[in-house]
Amino acid sequence: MAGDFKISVDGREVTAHEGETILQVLRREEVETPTLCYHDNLTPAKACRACVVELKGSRALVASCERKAEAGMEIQTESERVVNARRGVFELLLSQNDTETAPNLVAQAQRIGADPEHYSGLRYERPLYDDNPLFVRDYEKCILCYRCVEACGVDAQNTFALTVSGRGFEAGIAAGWGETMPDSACVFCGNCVAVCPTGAIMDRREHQMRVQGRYDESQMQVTQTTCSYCGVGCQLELHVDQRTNEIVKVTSPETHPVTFGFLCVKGRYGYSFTEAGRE
Amino acid sequence: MELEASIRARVREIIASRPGKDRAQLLEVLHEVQGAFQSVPRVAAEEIEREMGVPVTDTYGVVTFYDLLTDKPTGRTVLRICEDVTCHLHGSSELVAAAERSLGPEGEPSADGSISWTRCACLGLCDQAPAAHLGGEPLAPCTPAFVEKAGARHV
Amino acid sequence: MSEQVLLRRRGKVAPHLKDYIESGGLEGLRRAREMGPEAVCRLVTESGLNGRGGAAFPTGRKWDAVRSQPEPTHYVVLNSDESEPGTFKDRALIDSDPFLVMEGLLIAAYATQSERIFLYVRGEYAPQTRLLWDCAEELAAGGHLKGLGPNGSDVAVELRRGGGAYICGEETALFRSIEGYRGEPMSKPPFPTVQGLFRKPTVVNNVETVANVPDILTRGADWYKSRGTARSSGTKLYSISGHVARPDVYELPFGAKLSDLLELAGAGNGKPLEAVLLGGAAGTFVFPRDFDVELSYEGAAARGATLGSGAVIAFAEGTNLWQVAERLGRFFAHESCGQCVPCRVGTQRQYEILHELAGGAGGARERALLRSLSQVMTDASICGLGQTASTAVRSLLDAEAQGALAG
Ligand SMILES: Cc1cc2nc3c(=O)[nH]c(=O)nc-3n(C[C@H](O)[C@H](O)[C@H](O)COP(=O)(O)O)c2cc1C
Ligand code: SF4
Ligand code: SF4
Ligand code: SF4
Ligand code: FES
Repeated sequence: MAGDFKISVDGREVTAHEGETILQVLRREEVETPTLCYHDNLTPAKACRACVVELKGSRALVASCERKAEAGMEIQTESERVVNARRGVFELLLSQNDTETAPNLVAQAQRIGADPEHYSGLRYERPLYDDNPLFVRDYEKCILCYRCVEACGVDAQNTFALTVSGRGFEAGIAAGWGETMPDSACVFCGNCVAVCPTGAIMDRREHQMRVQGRYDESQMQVTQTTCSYCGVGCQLELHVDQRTNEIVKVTSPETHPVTFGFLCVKGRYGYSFTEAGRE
Repeated sequence: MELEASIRARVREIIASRPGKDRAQLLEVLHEVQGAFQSVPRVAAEEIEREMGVPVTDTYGVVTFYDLLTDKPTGRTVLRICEDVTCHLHGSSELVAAAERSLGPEGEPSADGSISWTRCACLGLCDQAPAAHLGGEPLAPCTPAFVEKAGARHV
Repeated sequence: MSEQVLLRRRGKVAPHLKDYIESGGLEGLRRAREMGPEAVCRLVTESGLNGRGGAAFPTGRKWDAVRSQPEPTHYVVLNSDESEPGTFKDRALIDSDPFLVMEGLLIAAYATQSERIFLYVRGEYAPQTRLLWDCAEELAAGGHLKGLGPNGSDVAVELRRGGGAYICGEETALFRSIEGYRGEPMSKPPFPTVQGLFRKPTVVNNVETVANVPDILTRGADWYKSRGTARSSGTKLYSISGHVARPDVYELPFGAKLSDLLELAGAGNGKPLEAVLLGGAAGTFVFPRDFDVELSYEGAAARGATLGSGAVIAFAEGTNLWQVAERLGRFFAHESCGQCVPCRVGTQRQYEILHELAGGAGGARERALLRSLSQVMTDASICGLGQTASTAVRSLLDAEAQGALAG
């Protein structure tokens, strides 16, 4: 194909397409690469550094999720430096965050042999923000992946209700002027919830069920439907608790050509009419 | 509210005095706002959003990023005490102790609002250590006696 | 003391354009206009001038890269953020000769065919901000900005006061800061010479770097190269503080020995030194056995050290260097922009461990932890802050392992 070229991955020559990132090549070649902040439909934040690889000629390791592949690149994904750096990233996060609702993070950490006890020290201590009827924010779980900020901003929603505030270890996600969601510019589309990889922002219903010990993933059944509110035709996934026949949350597939996983407040949260007349 | 209206008016003036209303003016605008009100209040950010198109939350992110900008009120004069390597060798802890004694808790304006103090990173005055800044101007070398005098005058 | 080049007007000339011109000022700019942009870039490259902001990149090559970009809009940024602990030479240079800095900048703008110069001065340098701005206004009023820009247009000068964030000295963070955002560094590539400020080709130069340029124009590359060593041309400013009798900024040709500098400043005040921190917070501890190190880029590198910004902090015998390291650790934890995990969490963990060691606690486990953490931060951080936040700590661990540490 025109615009194709070769790069070397762990000594193996592979084909890359013009414009692809190193991560895209690695995924196609089934080279397992941990990622945390990366999201297919958002600008790479290159913030977590889980995906770093060694690039010949570059002093520091490079984030494969952001760096474009170029002809002749020589990449190592299993060198000592890479293995050490990736493990370090996960160990640092495990020493800081509550990972209870981040099974994907924990699984990747285990896969690469990260030791949760390697570092100790100050953990994130943040209040729980339960300030609106639709979702709850528990920033002790936040890994500062920037996804919610990007989804709320230019990458999808263009509402600009969220920012990163502060600096260093004090840095964290804030709504509006460091205030409640209702006081901020938020329109409650829930797109931040949809992209959050750690459960730091979570639909309120799921959160409450978890607190009450009622949430059980295996009881969740996903029903596909099309949103009936307008003519755009967003595909919805209704996550229904089979035990109660209650909708727990609504999402949209990230691969859907209309939504890319993003919805508006009506599609995501306007389902209470389905429960009308129920106790 | 009258105060709010006057803040908004002042912020509009500050913005109008800049060569443009593009986002690249933001840091300078915020310096001016901080200077005028000893903090950047939310209403200022609202006015900035209206005039310059910078979302309120973005301004919050910027204000909380920089040490010289604050969203919480400071004293009309701020005493900044350098605590970095060289100043530490030359007794900055004594300055900090004097400040705690005579000016109260770090970051909190005095009762009359005239002064607050804070520790800070290297001020680039290591040749005159221990260094401090008073109202944005160098005060080096600084002494515990000076800090106490500042306290006596202002609290 | 040896010949003062950059500091020759120190304490002599009141900062007025008339006096500056009478003492030979603006001759370099006049020469530049005669030569044309391309020849100026070539001359600066031939002089061997390297950037003084820490990375020591060849200045002429950087200028030429911007000059020859197909994108027509170019910018020049003066990096006067000077926030590296122990560094104050840019402050002293602006105080002593602000017109020299401005003249160097105007030559940079002309050589790179830039339409605008941004003066980014750290917010804590109010007196220096006023000096530079007054000079810029005098130069503009005198017509000296005319015809320097692309196709004979006038060059404009804009001022930005930093907000109090060390990270904004890093060039991509500096761009974000000017653009009105949080000072969070971006990845390189793209390099600033291709996509810098507002995504346009941009030259970022340190204050001291540009101050070297006027003399290169008037006296030539050979004259310039006659000072210094084969690979480090010219003279260098050092900020020296700590346990010294005469803390100050000193100008020495590259190739002088660290011991010469320490002697000039009256190091130790009669007491022997325990060590010095060379190159600022991101530099390394150097111990008496290495005080004969040659102060040049290659000389420092040969001893595993770096000149960095030219900061030297001296510690008299008996100073607890772990307590010094703890200060450095706290500085980095406070100044990390917070963007990437290795630096945001890593600098905090490093500080916590150093805090233990400074208090006399902690043993082999803590030291091993510092080393593995250092490797993670150095390899995986986005920018130079995280990548060098453990350099000094590592040099201390090494010295300790080799028994070079007293006590
Ligand atoms: C964390 C960090 C802080 C920096 N601070 C400064 C600074 O205050 N002044 C400066 O000139 N360069 C600083 N630099 C280096 C700049 O990124 C850049 O290399 C330099 O300004 C280029 O100018 P030069 O080529 O004239 O040295 C810093 C780099 C890093 C990584
Ligand atoms: S719900 Fe939508 S508008 Fe509100 S913060 Fe999340 S993404 Fe932004
Ligand atoms: S709240 Fe979630 S999406 Fe937002 S930065 Fe934190 S972990 Fe990422
Ligand atoms: S290394 Fe530190 S300062 Fe640099 S981008 Fe990462 S967090 Fe920010
Ligand atoms: S996935 Fe690449 S930096 Fe986070």
